[in-house]
Amino acid sequence: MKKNQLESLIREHHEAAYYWALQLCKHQPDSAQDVLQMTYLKILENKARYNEQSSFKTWLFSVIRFTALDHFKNQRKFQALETVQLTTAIDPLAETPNLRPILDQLPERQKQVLLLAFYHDLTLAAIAEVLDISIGSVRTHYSRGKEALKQYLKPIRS
Amino acid sequence: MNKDQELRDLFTAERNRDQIDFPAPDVDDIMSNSKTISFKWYHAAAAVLVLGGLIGILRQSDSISGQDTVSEEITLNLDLTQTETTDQLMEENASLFSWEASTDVLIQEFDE
Repeated sequence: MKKNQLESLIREHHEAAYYWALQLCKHQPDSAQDVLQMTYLKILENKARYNEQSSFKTWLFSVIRFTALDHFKNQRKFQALETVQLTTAIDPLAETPNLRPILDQLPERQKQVLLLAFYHDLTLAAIAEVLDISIGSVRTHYSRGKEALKQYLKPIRS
Repeated sequence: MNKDQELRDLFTAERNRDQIDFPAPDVDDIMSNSKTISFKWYHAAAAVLVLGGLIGILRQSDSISGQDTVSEEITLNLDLTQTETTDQLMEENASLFSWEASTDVLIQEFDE
């Protein structure tokens, strides 16, 4: 695929890509921008090649995930990010509850599956490709995550 | 299905909230930074190549003057060798002529 075609596809999916990077970086905008920059560089320099076997969005999300993993491995930020204090509290009076602090209480895989399914509107097959796991695992994380989320939401709703 | 729709609505609200709290940076800013990183990399690589080339040219010019000296010496040696060889041949030819001359004298004496 030519560079200008890749650029136009990146432009088309940039916003979704940014929010996926932001979610992987625990809502730290600077880290998300770094990850996105490295991802675009990989794509534009042909270090990550799009073989058109899946949709561009699915492939892009997968590259972002791998780049974020590398980024954190290199900078040894995993520990630091895990201990980031939640600044957004659950507000029971809010018309729509803030999902972020609730999602942060879920296991990482369940959280990612729910975000990709509901926030980014990806199919279960696409989620399996992005997270590099089997579709069976995705189904399990999806149903367990939904159940857990509903349990967290129950007291807020009532 | 209704329960899923409820979740979907919650995630949509979350997406709208993110767009306000964490507005996405301009795609051109991110892409131009990527290009800058790329440019810097190529720039550094080009600089190394140019420097390497210059060092190579300087070293080559040194070795060329050295080579000239060596070839001059070889030429001189060859000249000397050639001279010696010519001398030897001349000596051999001279002895051959003298042997022929003495043989002629012997034949003449025998005939007489």
